[in-house]
Amino acid sequence: MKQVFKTRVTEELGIAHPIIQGGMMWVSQPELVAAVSEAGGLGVLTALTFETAEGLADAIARTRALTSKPFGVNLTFLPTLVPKDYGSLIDVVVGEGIGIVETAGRNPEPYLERIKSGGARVIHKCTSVRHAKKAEAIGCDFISIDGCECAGHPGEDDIASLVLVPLTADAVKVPVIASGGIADARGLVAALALGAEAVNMGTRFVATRESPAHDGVKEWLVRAAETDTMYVMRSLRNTERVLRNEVAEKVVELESAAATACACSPAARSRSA
Amino acid sequence: MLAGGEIEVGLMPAGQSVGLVRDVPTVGELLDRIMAEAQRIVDGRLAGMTG
Repeated sequence: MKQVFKTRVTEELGIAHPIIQGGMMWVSQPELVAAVSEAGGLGVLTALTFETAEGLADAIARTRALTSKPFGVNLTFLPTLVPKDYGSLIDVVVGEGIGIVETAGRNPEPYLERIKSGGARVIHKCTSVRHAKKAEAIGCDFISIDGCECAGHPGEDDIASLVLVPLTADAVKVPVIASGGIADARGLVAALALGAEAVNMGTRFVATRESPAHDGVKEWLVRAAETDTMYVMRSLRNTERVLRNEVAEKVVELESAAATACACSPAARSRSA
Repeated sequence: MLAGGEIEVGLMPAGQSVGLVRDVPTVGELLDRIMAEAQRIVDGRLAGMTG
């Protein structure tokens, strides 16, 4: 497919199409990532999926065996009780010469100098104009702004992409990537009209042939309606949008019963992977 | 659950765009389709509105 749109993101990242497959825990594995990059978009591996530095290095090698085109690595900084060894993961990213790093979660500032020491461009994923301005100020090269339609963590402000994308494009000078709610050409064109220079898609890529998700999950995604997701963990100010099922309904029920600390423990989360 | 396919056993992140997901194409088919349709929207539908 020839290039249709030339944008600041396609030019600066060296990709044909302004479509990024955002980092998704467990889903963003070499086969999917390489397929997206081979198709002209930008695939992104998730470092935490591979847990160790060796695991990440192996995933990078497997991706490189499948594509010679650019791909990125996502580093999500989580508020975990036991600090993760981000240093060794960043060493792999720098040592392997990864040119594009997507950061998410907490403020990446403590790690930014080290990440950029090898010349990587940094896409910071955030959910508010306030955080976008902060990310630009500390030296991030791109802002991926997540409207509350998104999967996973939408923040606590509940601003949808139709408002959040143009406000972010107005607020920062670096290129903006629209994330949340986009799954087809209409969303892409709309995002470009709103001021974005590219889009980020997650859920759409889970339902592809190269995605590692089980066929049962892909079939569910095809059947699901726009009303089949819901928020959990809002009461902990760690809101997450997940598919609507009995477990999610139970979590919300327990939250409203103020039994939050137990229901949302790392043990409950680990069962979701 | 992503690997096992049992969608009732845990929490699985999913966005509202799930309502727009209607098939399971290859990534190549998906990007080709999106870019071809995007071109038609811009050169056809939108251009027709301003032309």
